[in-house]
Amino acid sequence: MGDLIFSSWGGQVVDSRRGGGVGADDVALPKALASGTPVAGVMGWDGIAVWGDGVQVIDLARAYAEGLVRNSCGQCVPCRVGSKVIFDCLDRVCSGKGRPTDLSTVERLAARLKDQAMCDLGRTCGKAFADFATHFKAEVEAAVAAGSEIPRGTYRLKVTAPCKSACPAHLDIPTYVELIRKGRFLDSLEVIRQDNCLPGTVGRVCVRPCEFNCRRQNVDGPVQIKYLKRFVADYELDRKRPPRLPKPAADKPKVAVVGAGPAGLSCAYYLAQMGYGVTVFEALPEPGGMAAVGIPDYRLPRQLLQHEVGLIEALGVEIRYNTDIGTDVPFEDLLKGEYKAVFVAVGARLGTGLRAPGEDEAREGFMRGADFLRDVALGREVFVGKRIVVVGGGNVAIDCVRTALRLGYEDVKLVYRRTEKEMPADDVEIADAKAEGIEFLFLHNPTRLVLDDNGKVKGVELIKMELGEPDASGRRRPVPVEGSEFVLDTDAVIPAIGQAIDLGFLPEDGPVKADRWNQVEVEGLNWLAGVANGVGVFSAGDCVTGPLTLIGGLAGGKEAAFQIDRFLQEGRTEPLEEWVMNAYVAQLNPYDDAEDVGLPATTEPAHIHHLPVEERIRDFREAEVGFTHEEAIADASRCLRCYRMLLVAVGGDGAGAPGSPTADR
Amino acid sequence: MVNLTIDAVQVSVPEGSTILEAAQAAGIRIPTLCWLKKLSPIGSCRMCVVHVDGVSRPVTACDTVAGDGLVVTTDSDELREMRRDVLRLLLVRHPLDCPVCDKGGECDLQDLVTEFGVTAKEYGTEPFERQLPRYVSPFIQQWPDRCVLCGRCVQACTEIKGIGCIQIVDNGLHSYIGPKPGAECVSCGECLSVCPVGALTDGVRETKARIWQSERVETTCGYCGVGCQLELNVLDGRILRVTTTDFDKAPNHGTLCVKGRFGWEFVDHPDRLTKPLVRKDGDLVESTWDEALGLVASRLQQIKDEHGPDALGGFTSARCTNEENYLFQKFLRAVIGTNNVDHCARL
Ligand SMILES: Cc1cc2nc3c(=O)[nH]c(=O)nc-3n(C[C@H](O)[C@H](O)[C@H](O)COP(=O)(O)OP(=O)(O)OC[C@H]3O[C@@H](n4cnc5c(N)ncnc54)[C@H](O)[C@@H]3O)c2cc1C
Ligand code: SF4
Ligand code: SF4
Ligand code: SF4
Ligand code: FES
Repeated sequence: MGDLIFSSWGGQVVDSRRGGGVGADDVALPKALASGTPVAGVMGWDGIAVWGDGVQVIDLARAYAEGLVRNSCGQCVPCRVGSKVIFDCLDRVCSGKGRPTDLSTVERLAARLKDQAMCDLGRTCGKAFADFATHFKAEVEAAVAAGSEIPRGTYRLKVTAPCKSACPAHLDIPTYVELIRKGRFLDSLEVIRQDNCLPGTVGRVCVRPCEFNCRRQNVDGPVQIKYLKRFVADYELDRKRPPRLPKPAADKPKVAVVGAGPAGLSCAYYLAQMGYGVTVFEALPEPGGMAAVGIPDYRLPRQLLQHEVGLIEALGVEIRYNTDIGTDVPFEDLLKGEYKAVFVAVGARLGTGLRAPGEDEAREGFMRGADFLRDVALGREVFVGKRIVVVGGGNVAIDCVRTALRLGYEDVKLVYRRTEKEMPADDVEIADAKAEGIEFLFLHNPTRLVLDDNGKVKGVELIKMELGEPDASGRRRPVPVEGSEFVLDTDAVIPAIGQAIDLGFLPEDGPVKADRWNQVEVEGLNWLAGVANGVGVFSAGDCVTGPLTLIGGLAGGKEAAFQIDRFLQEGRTEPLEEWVMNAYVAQLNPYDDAEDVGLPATTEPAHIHHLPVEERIRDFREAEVGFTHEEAIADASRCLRCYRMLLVAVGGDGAGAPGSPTADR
Repeated sequence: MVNLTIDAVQVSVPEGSTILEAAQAAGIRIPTLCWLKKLSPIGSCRMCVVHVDGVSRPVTACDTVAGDGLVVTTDSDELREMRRDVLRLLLVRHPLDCPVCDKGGECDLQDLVTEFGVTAKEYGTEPFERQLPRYVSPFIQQWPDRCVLCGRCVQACTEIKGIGCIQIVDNGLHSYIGPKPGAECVSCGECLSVCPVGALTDGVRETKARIWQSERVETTCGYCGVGCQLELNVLDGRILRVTTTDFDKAPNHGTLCVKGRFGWEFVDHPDRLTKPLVRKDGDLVESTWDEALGLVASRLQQIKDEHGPDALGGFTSARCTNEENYLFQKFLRAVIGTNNVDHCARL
């Protein structure tokens, strides 16, 4: 790889063209795609950087302009027309027919794009063209004077947005939010459904990485991306509009899916749309995985989840309930040839314990978090006393305390070994729990259970903790304060400190291997776990990543579906071009929390409404009420449509001018 | 209320108002092209850029919410140049066929180009041809090259009519207003009524006239009982088209249905009855109003005398105005003396 020639990336200019050697490593841009293809230079939202030999910067700029012409949505004047004028200028220069005025036209229109375009696609492109016009003036003048042709290089183009890049499923957020602003709610939902088969579900309980990467928060608060998704999903349901989903022809081979959680459902959804016959095996009597038997009904009503799963079934997906692979059907049976591929999405269904004395002897009043929530969800009988202590700091712990309250526990305490600041649970969840009267005990950790003679929980011994040095996660490590133990009286204790993956169904010598964390081992971006007997076994979701998120499961299932298709159609697996570019873009981090967006802080995010505490803690009715039309439109109007484009100069093997307009998104 | 300063004028507006609305309240005009009072802001033309103190780049007044303490400047050399560039860019593809355009003389683009003194074709692109599918119905003609892609028509079709059968299709300079699959155009002409230029025109009648040659006659639509207000554009005693330019006027605020906007050709249709007919010896024969009304009056009187007033009944029509309907029931009750009166809209 050549030395760095020029970089304006991130606003810092490094220029080695006129003497002085700077190493390519001086600019913190990855020098290759995940597929191994070397990268020689980039032009994008944050500037231009060139380090490889043979990158023709004028041609790079022409290709970038061509990308803008193709991706400009056509709404605003500076970008719709300006992009074509800029392209024509650069194209003339590259064809040896440049005019002396071409560079000044580019410069002037770049400034207009930067300051006047409606959305950030035009604006960031304006910035990139401005960088080009400022730093490559001499090159353009020389090219115009010489009048010779500049050959076309090979590039990859990717359009992204900070929110879209942060979303594991890469939902086209700017588009669906804009459609809400325009009152096109069902069109918006259609866009969401391209990347997400459970919009109403995710619109309620997503951990919303998009919102933490939303540029609007640099002005006055993030766009309420999650609730907007809920809004359009609810709109369709409330108005009884027929969901716009395809009626696929099942003309392709059969695929088996193990587990009807988010990952399994998502994979089935895409496979069915491609024409595969899909059979899902599910151990439980109902679909949804942890979304059904983990997340409680007051956050996610089960009827809604079941309605959304029903839509997936309507695509021709068959779900066989009460069928545990390993117990009811041996895993090996799936590899015998009836199914040409198998997708393993078994999640992490085992609750983990405290590893504290007394646990194994407890007969009543002790349950692991995941088991407790599952039993409540399935309507099984659970022990209900007066006082309960839940141990943990994540969302599962919060779900346990709020569930306990709704079951009739009067004194509900949450014990966490660090402070509130370190709690991984969502701030909104913590606030909701506090409002409902949950007591939080920070900087405490259980050391043993106190049982009576019959093994019934009487109390729990706690030790005080203090924060020490930061650990690998950057959070300060809690250390016990010696001799500070004391016993807290309670009728029940629930550890909610994690789940473990149950891979007991996998045969020892089968194609699928577990790694040292007992997670299914898969091949990089391909989701391939192994091949036996010509049957490809793929896996994604919590059983590959460890307990994570719903949207992570949906994203994994979707990607696996495309790999399964490639495997069955082409006999190979290879990450799609799109994911390779997504991965590269993510490394560049399209969100900059220090950016000055250039807008007055005059709006506020729309607020979701809650049922009054007294009303909502009596049973499992949904605690939140969605947006009104006005609220949804007002919030959607706050979106800045932060599309941005990245052009990557690659070696000779890439496809030249990249695909169709929307393909870039 | 929020308080802000626009061009040194203090103004107080309700929360949620835009900077443009605040400026209007203060009597300050900010040039606009895509904005239309009856639509939610579109923000596409970028003409309405203003400067806000402490904010690093210009913002669009039409879709930026006003806030307490903002200090806004609506005019400066820089802002004027930005607005000029918008117009220059619009002229890159605009055909300048104003002499034959229906909108000539009342076109927002023409007005702005004149106001900002944009004459030269500053920017240009290499020529390219395009063949576009049209969404038009027989009543609506589309002139895609005249379109400034303001997006008003799309917004009006979605937001006012709730139909949404058009959208921006394709990308960049190739984009155009085209049909949106899955929704059917009902030819209401809402799009046409909001178009700031001559990109959508009325296809009913070939004869056209400059706007200043035709007379505008305000009237009430006769098709139903809503009472929509409209303007007949009349030249030499003949209707050329129907327009709605006053979006503040109740009850329709410039909106019409297909009948009101395009269904006026009957007015001078050759088959139309222009004289009353009276049946004589089994045939309908042209007559005079005196004879016809006299006949009706005498027959009514005769029936009333012979069978009493309740032998008569009246049935009136939604195509009459409120006042006419009122008079009709008054006539039946007070003159004839019966309560037998009804109206088609009640059925
Ligand atoms: C209490 C709780 C709260 C959560 N809250 C949130 C939240 O608010 N937001 C969020 O984004 N994420 C949340 N999560 C995480 C999220 O639910 C999971 O990450 C997600 O469900 C993972 O999807 P999955 O398909 O990989 O696995 P799962 O959802 O676990 O689904 C696996 C499915 O496979 C079935 N299965 C397992 N083994 C077998 C077998 N041998 N044979 C047949 N079927 C089998 C299981 O019964 C289950 O239905 C929460 C998780 C829990 C436990
Ligand atoms: S992509 Fe953005 S900048 Fe370009 S025309 Fe559309 S709104 Fe304008
Ligand atoms: S403002 Fe809109 S496009 Fe920009 S990051 Fe937020 S949601 Fe995404
Ligand atoms: S047809 Fe008229 S209203 Fe519609 S986008 Fe074009 S100029 Fe605007
Ligand atoms: S009037 Fe504000 S952008 Fe068009």
